[in-house]
Amino acid sequence: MEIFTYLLDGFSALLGTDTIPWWQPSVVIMSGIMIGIFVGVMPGLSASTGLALMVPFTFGMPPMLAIILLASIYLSSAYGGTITAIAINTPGTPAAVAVAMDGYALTKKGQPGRALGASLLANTTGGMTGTLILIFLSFPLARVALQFGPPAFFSLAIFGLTIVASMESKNRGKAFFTTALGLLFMTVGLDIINAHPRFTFGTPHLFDGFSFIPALIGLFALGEILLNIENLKEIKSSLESFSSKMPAWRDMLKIKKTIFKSAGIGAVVGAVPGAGATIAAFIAYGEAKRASKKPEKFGQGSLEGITAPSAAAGASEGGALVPLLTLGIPGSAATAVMIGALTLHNITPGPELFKNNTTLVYALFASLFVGNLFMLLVGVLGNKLWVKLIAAPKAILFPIIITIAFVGSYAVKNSMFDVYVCLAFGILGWLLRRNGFPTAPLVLAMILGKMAETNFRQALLSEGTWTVFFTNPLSLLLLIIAVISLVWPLISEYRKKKRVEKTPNDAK
Amino acid sequence: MINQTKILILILSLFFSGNYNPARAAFPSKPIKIIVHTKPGGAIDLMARQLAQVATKYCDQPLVVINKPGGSGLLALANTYNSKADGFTLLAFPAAFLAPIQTTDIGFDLNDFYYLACLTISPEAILTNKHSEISSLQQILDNAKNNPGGQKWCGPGSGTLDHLMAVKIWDKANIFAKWIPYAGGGPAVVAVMGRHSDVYVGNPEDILGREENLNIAAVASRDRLPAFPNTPTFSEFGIDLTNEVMWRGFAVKKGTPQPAIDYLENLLWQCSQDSLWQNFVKRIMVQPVFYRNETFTEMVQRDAESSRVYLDMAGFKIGSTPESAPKPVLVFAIILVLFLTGIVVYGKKAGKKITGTIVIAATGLGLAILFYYMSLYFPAPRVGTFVGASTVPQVWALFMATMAIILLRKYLKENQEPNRTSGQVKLVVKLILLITVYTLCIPLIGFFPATIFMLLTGMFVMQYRKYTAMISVTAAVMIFMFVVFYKILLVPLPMGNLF
Repeated sequence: MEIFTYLLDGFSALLGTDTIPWWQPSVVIMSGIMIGIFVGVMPGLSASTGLALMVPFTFGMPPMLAIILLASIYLSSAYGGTITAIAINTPGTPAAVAVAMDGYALTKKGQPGRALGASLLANTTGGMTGTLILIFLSFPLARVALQFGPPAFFSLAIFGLTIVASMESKNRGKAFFTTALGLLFMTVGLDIINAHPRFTFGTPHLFDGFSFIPALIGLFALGEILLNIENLKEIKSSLESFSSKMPAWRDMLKIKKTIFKSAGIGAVVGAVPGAGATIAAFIAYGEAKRASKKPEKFGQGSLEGITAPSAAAGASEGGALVPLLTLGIPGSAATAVMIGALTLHNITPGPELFKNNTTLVYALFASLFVGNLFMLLVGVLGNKLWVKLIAAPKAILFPIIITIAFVGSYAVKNSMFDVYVCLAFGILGWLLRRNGFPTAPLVLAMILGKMAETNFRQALLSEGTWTVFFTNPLSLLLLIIAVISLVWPLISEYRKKKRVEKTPNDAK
Repeated sequence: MINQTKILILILSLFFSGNYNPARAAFPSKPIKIIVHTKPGGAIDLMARQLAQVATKYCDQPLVVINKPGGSGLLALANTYNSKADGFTLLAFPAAFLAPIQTTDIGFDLNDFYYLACLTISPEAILTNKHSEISSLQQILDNAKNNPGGQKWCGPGSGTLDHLMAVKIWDKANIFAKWIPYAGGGPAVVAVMGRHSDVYVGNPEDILGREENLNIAAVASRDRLPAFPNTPTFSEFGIDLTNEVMWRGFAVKKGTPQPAIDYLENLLWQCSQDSLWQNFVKRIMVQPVFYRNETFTEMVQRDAESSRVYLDMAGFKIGSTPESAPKPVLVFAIILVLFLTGIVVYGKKAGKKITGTIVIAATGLGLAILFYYMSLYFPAPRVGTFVGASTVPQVWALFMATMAIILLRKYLKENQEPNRTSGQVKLVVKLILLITVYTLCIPLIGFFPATIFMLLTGMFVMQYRKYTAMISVTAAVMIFMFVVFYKILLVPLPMGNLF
C-alpha cells in the first residue's frame, strides 16, 4: 500500500523538511488549533470569517505551513463553537446549535464538565474518522457527491426539515411554527432565478437576505441573556456550583456506536458541496434520537444527543476537504476561502495536487491527525477553565457577551445593519423562548430554506416537469427517508402510548 | 474657470478632510482604503490585497483593504459614493458592477465614478464537461440546432455578466438554450462537473485544478490564448465575439481633486509594473494590462451599453422600479390591530387569559398574510415555466398560516399554559433599551467609547456594584478587543462621525 508510505512521508514532513525547521510545523498546528478554538468560541466569528481574517497572515509563510495553519484553524473552530453552545447556550458556529440542545441542558443540571468532555471526545473521534475517510475513500465519495444535482439537493433540504418532527417531540406545533417563520425569513432578498427583490423594502442591505450569522447570534446569545436575566432571582451573585468532572469512560463506550455512525453521516454529508456541517449535525441528531433506546432523554441532557452532532460536525470537516482535493471545488464557505488563500501560494487544489505535490497533501492529512490530538489535549486542559468562566457573575459576563456578539455581527460584512439584525433577532429569540417556542428549528429552516427554494426552481427550470423529484433516484431515496423521518416519531409515540395503555390492563 | 473650480474643490476638500496638516499637504496624508465588494478570499479581494502589499514599496501610507460585501456589489458602490471625494477611498471596480448598478434605482450611476485604471482582463469563455457528448463548441452548436432550448447553460446568478454573455453568445450564434442561475461560480462549475448542466459561462482560469473533468470549449478573444493554445476562439466558428473581457480596475468617486487622482494613477502604474504584481497576475491566469482613465472609461461605457441591450433581451427592465405592493407596513399594522383586538375581545367574553403564545401565533398569522399580499405583486413566471418568484414564499406563507391557526385553536380552546411565575420583565426591557441606545451610539461616537459605556452601564443595570471590578474588567475587555479585532484581525470598527 503506497498510501501508507505517503502518509509516513507526510508525518515526517511535520517534523521538518530541508527548508522548514523541525519545530515550526508543530507550533503552527498548535497556534492554528488555538486560533480555531478562539474563532469558534467568539459568537459571530464563524470558521469562514475567521479563516478569511487570517488569510493575510499566511502571505509570508512557506506553502506547507500556510495550508496546515488554515486546516488547523478550520478543524478546531467547530469544537470551539460547541464550547459556548454547551456553556452558555450560545453556539459559536451554526452546527453547534444541534449540540446546544442537549449540551446546555446538561450544564443546567450542573454538569458542564461532563457535557464539554463528551462533546470534545466525540468531536475528536469524529475528526479522526473523517480524516480516515478523506484519505481512503475520497475518490469514490467525490463521485457520489457529484450525483447531487438540483433535485437531490431539494430532497435533502426537505429531509432536513422533517428532522424538526423528531427533534422537538414535546412541542411539535410550536416547533413547526418557528420552522415556518425561518422559511419565510429566508425568502427575503433577491430571488435567485429572476433577480427580483423580494420583501426588501427597497434597501440593498436586504438583497442577500438576512445575514445568517448575526441572526444566529441574536437568537441564541442575546436571546439567552435576556431570558436568563428575566428568570434569575439574584442576578448579582449567581455563583452556581458547576462540576468540571469529565464523563466516565463507561458512559462513553456505551454510546460508541452512535458516535461512529454520526461520524460517518458527517463525513458523507460534509463531502457534498453545499450541504455542510450544520445539516450533518442535525441529521446525526435526528438519527441518534430515532435509533436511541431512550429517546425521551433527548433534550434533557442526553449524552447521545451531545455526541451525535459533535461527532458529525467534527467528521464533516474531513468530508468537506474531499471535493476540494479531488475535484478542485469548494465544499463550504470555509473551504472556498482556503482555495483563495492557496491560490496565492501558487497551489491549485485539485487532483493534480495528489500527483505533483504528494508530500504537501499527505502532510495536510497528517496535520489533521496531529491537530485532532492537540485539540483533545487543549480541550481537556481547557475544560476547567470554561467551567470557571461560566461560574463568573452573570452581571459581568452578560455585558461582555453582548459587546462581543455585536463585534462578531459587525465583522461578518463590516456593516452596522447586521448589528441591528442581531439586536432584532435577539428580542425575537427572547419573546419566542419565554413562550416555549424552540429556536433551533428556526435556525435549521433558515439554513435549509434557501437551499430548498433555489434547487426546487433550478430543477424545474432544467427539467420542466414536477416528476423529476421522483424519477431522479437519489432524490427519490431522500424523499422516502424524509417521509420516514416525518412519520417515524409519530408511529413510535403511538406504539408507546398503546403499550402504556396495555400495561395497567396486564396488572389487573 | 474649470481650473478655478478644481482648486476651490481641492482647498475645500483638504479643509474638510479632517486630518489636514499644512506641513504635509502632499497627498496622501493618511491611509488609503480599498473597498472590495466580496468577502475576504474572493478573487478581487486577493487582487486588492496583493496590490496593497506591492504598494508599500511606492507609498508612505498603507493601503487598507476593507470588505463591504452584499447587495450584488451595491453596498460597496454605495459606501464609496457616500464617502468624501478626497482620494482616500479607492473602489475595486469589476465588470460585474455594470448590471446591478443599471438595473437598480439606487441614487447614483456609472457617471458618478472616475475610472482610474484597469489592471487585469480575462476573456469570457465557455466551459463544458470533458466526458460529456456536448464538449466542444461544434458539439454544442450541433446539439443546440437539433434540440432547440434544451441545453442547460449555467453560471452565477441572473442578469449577471456571465448570464448576459450567454445571451450574447446565443444571439450571435443563432442558437437558443436555458439559463440556470446558481448561487455563485463555484456551485455552477460543480453542476457542469456533475452533468446537471451542459455549459458553464465564465473565464479560462476557472479550469485551474479541474483539468481532468472540464474542457474550455471556446474563448471570446481575437486570437487563441498563449496559456491555452488548443482552445479555439469563437471567431474560428464564425461567431463574432472577439473582445468580450471581464475586467478589474480601480475607481474613485467623481469630484476627487486632480492631485490625488494623479498620485493614485501613478501609484497604480508603479504597482502594475512591479515584478511581484506581474507574478501574481500570471499565477491567477489573467492578463495584466494598464488602461488609463480614457481607455478604461471608454471600455466601461461600451460594456454598459452592451449590457443594456442584453439585459433587455434577457427580459430585465432597466430604469423602472419593479412594481411592488402598496403600503405593506400599513396593511400589516391594520391586520395586527384587527387580530389582537379580536383575540382580546374573545378572551374577555370567554373568560380566558391571553397568553404570549396566542399573541405570537396571531402575529405569525399576520406575517403570513403580509408576505402573501406582497408576493401577489411579484413578476409572473417566465413564459414556459410555471413557478415564479412568488410561488415558494406563498407556499411557506400558507404553511405558516396553517401552523398559526392550529396553535390559535389549541391555545384559545384549552388555555392550558401553566402560569409562569412572572420574572423580572422590567429589567429585561431596561437592558433592551440600553442595548438599542448602544447600537445607535456606535456609528455616532465610535465603537470603543460606546462599548465602554455599554459595559459599565450594563453591569450597573444588572445591579453589580463592585466598582473596581467593573472598571478593571471593562479595561481588560477594551484592550482585548482593540488588540484582537482592531489591530490583529483588522476589522474596520466604526470610529464615529461626530468628532
